[in-house]
Formats: sequence, C-alpha cells, structure tokens
Amino acid sequence: MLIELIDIRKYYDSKKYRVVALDGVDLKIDKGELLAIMGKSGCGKSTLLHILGGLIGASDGTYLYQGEMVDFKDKRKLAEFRRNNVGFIVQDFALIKEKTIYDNIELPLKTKNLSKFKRNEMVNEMLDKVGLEDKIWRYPYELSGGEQQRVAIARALIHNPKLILADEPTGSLDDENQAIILKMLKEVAKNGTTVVIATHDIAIARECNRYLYISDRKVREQELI
Amino acid sequence: MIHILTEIKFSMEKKLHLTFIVICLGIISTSLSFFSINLYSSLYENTEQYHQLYEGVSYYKTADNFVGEAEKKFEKDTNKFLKLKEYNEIMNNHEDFDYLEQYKQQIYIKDYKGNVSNLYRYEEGDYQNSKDRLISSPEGKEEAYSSVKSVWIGSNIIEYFKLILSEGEAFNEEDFVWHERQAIRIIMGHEYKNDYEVGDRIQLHIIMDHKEAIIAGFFEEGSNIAYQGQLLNLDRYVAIPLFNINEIPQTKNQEFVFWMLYLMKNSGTVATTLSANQVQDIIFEICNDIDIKPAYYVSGATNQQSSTFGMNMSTILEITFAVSIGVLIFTSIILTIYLYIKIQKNSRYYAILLMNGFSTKDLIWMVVGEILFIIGVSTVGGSIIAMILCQLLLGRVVSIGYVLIPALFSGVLPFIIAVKKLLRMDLCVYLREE
Repeated sequence: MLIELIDIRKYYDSKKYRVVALDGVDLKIDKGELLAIMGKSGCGKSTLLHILGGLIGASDGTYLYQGEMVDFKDKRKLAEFRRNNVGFIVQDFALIKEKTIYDNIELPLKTKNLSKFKRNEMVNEMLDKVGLEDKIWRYPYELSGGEQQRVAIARALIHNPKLILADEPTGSLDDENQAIILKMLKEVAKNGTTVVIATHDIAIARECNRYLYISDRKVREQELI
Repeated sequence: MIHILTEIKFSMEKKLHLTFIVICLGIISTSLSFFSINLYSSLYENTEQYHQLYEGVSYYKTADNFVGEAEKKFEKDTNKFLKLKEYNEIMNNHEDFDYLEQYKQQIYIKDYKGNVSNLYRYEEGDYQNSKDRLISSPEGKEEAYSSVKSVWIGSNIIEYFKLILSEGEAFNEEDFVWHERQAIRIIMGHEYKNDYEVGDRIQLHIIMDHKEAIIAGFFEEGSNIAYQGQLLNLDRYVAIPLFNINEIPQTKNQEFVFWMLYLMKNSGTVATTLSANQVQDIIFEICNDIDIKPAYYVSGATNQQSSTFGMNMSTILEITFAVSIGVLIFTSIILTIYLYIKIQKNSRYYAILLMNGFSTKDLIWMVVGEILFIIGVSTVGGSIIAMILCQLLLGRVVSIGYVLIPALFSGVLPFIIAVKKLLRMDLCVYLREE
C-alpha cells in the first residue's frame, strides 16, 4: 500500500466561524492504482489532493505514506516529501508563462542536486515521451491547450514521482485532447505510478480502476454505473 | 541555493523597470543618509577634538573658510589685507576671550646642525625628505636646507603659557614688527641647545623668502603650549614671531607675504570660558561687520558657516538629517509596497514553485534575496556617491561603518511585511486560478 489516510480532518478557522472541508476521511490507495475522486464543486476534492500531495497539512488525523507518518508540521520535510514523491497536474496547467517549455519542465529538478547536463538529458527525454521535442524553446502561450497539458504532465513526471495528483486534468480540453491526456495518465499508472484524479466527469472516472465520491465532507466508495 | 538565486533573478527581471526605480530611490536615500551621518560625525568629532579644558579654560582653534570659490573671491577683494588686519586686531583686543596667535608651519634652515628628531614629520617616520633639500639662494645658487618643526607665535604666547627660557632672552615688542631686510629673532627648543648657541646667525627660508635669523634663546626643557586640543611640547620646535604688519603691501611679493602672515595670525586659538557656539557667534558678528565672507569658523562649533553652502552648519545638518530620514522612510515604504504588490502578483508563481518541490523557506529566501539585492546595490551605489560628496564637501569620509544603518533601517520593514504576507498566504488557492 502506498497511502493510508486515517480520520483526516481539515478545518479553515476564521475569527467568527469554522469551515469544515474534510470531516473524518479514511482512505487507502495502492501502488500503481488509477483512482478517481468525484464530487460537486467545493466538496473538498482539491483539499484532499493538496493534503495527499503535502501542499497543506490536515488539521487532524494521520497520513501514512509507504507506512511512514507524514509530519505536516515540519515544513522542510513536507517540501522534501513533495520533491521526492509527488507530481502535480492542474486544470489550467500551472505553467509559468514567462519561462520556456524547457525551463517549465526542468523546474522540479532544480531543487535536486543534479548536474546541468543530467537535467538537460532528462528534460529532452521527457519532451520526447510527450511528443513535444520540437517545442522545447517555445513559451506556453505559443502552444495549444492539449500541448500545454502535455507539458504539465512532463513536468509532473520528470522527477519520477511515485504519486501523481491530477486536479481536473482534462477540464480545459476538447474531447480529442482529453482522450490523449487520459491515455497518458493510464500509461503512467500502468508503469507503477499511482495516479489520483480529481474530476467531476463520470467518463474520466470510468477509465479509472477505482472511483470514490466525496459527500458530506467524507469519502465514500462507489460502484461504477 | 542556486535554484533560489535563479528564481530571484527571474523574479526581478519580470518587473525590471520597477526594480530599477526602487534601486534608484535606495541609492538616493543611502547616499543622503550616509552623507548626513558623516556631516554629523565630522562636526561632533571636531567638538570632541578641540573642546579641551585646561585649567578651566576651553581652547578653540579658529580658521578661515576660504575654500574654492570663496578663496578666489576673497583674493580678488582689494581690501582683503586691511580686512584681515582689522579682524586680527579685534580678535586680539576682544574682552570676552584671549586670542592666542599660534600656528604650526615648518621652516627651512640652511646647513642644519641639529638632531634628526627636530626635522619636520620625524614622529610620523617620513622625515627623510625633510633633510638637505635643495633651495635656490637669492643669487640663484642651489643650497641644502632642512625642513624643521616650527611654531609661529604671537606676542602674548610666551606670557600666556608662562614659557621660561633656559638661556637667552624672550621676544620683545620690536621682534614682532616686520622689517623686510632686517634679520629676525627666533627662540629654539631645548633639543637644539647642544647644536646652536645664543647669538648664532642662521639662514632661513620662510614664506617663499630667504631671511636671516638670530638665535635669541632656548626654551626650558618641557615647555608646552596648548595647541589644537593638545599640549604641544616645544623641545623640538623653533619659535618664530608672528609679525605685525604696519604698512600697506607695495609689491606682489609683499602682498603674498602679508597675506600668508595674516592667514597664520588669524588661524589662532581662542582661550575662553564661553562655549564653542558662543565664540562662533561672536566671530560671525565680527566678520559680518568687516565683511569677511564666509566667516572664520571655530572648530567644534556646530553653528559654523559652510564655505560651500554659505549657511550655518547646524542648519545644514538639520536639513540634511530631515531630508535623509524622510527619504529613508519613503524608500522603506516604497520598498514595502513594491514587495507587497510583487508577492501578491507572484502568488500563483509561488504556488507553482511550491508544487514543484520548492519549500516555503525557499520562497522566503527568494523574497529576502530580492530585498538584500536591492539594498546591497543601493548601499554600494549610495556609498560611492556619498563618499564623493564627503570628499568634495567635507574633505574626507569620517566613517564608512555607518553606511549599514540606513541599509538596515530601510530593509527591516519590507522584510517583516513581506515575510508575514508570504506566510499568511494560502498559496494553494492560486493553483486553481489564472
């Protein structure tokens, strides 16, 4: 098992009131699993993804990653956890528009102790995989939506993470590009990387091994219809 | 660390014109602050140095303010000599203080027989150039003269400091009257005693002219005068009368000699129980009445007149301090706003960095790095400008260490606000927004 969440809660406190985003989430995710998390807007899908990826801490509960507890209070360790284990993909690609495709993909490698030569080799290899080798010195705004998402996938995979967290990865794409991206993510999962997709698209969820639904701030397992 | 530096560079390049404006502002504020601190130090360092109490009396060095344009302007004044003479007479007869004419200025002795310790700059260790320098005689022949330590004294000095001669006799009134072709009388310090005798005639070169001198006597060992805040031991010095001139200069040479003499006579010491600023006020009044502009200044007085600006120094100090503090606060606020807006605008960029392995600490370092870069460039640029200003207006840089004060001051507020802002932001929100 790669991940186990035990009674995870997330609150957002203001002076006057408390907003509960997640309320006692229990979840187990296996290695190489392709998992879909569904739910309405604002139900807590992204929050769950951010907790899984160590971007934010849970207010309460235990997060075990490969059997070891993730310490949300230690920001340095949390950054290290993200750096070594997680790749993120988001709906609007989150590419830095002033950086070239090369620089965007190279970003996760910059915090690692790798030579420029090695980084160059890895970026080129990854661009080859996503079929964008001819776009290396372009800027994101010179690429189509589908191409930008392929760049985002390349960036998420460049440091060989064990966990890919995709938040509405096909939300901004047409059917053709949606299919391409989904195919890529399935291939990633087939190669042993765990992929968790937050989506409200049932068609995407059908392509996954497992399907979860968030309602009443809790995660429920659902049968695919 | 390299990844942080790369991102600092990237972040700064994004709004290069804004960064440039903030740096320019930083340079202006640093140079102004640095200059005003130096101006303050220079004034109050002088106060410490010259305000020396000796038997309940303060001794203040006075000097002219004829520098640069002021000097050229005064030189052109046809009445300059009379003005200086009148100033001298008023100072010598003022009832509120004793005016002591004393001025250290080396003289040249032909065929010098004394110790090397009497040579000019012996204590500083570079007296080699003082020995056997070739000077043309009136006949055009080159002769060896040595430069020796000498103090020019007015007629009241011997009595005022109760100086006693071990041999010979002190100066009399007649010795202080300038005669162009007549030998002058000098008194030598104790260390000359083995090498010269009373009545010896020696050839001097003083104020660009040759003069015969007769040794009138020797000071007792350990004779001292109060000079520029210190006791000056006369054992290795030659005392020369600061002559009074009772005639109007007729030739160019006379004009030069009289001018030099009165510059020396008027750069004397005021012995008084008054404060430096009170003495300065009196001198202002005297100079104003005689029309000497800029006025003579009192070292250590904070109300002295600047030769460059023609204003009271304390007023200049107040103005520069007020302006520099104002600019410093303004710069600090602008830097804070600049960083605040930048962090706000960069939130999505920071969120992207965060999801790609950067830590919150990395982001803080990026902001701190940007602050340090701006302050660093401002400090270096501002210091260079301030040092040039100090050299031009104060003659020297009093303290370079103070440069860090404005740098620290302007960096604290932006640092606190920026880090606080960064830590309070929920950057994940920005991952879902474009």
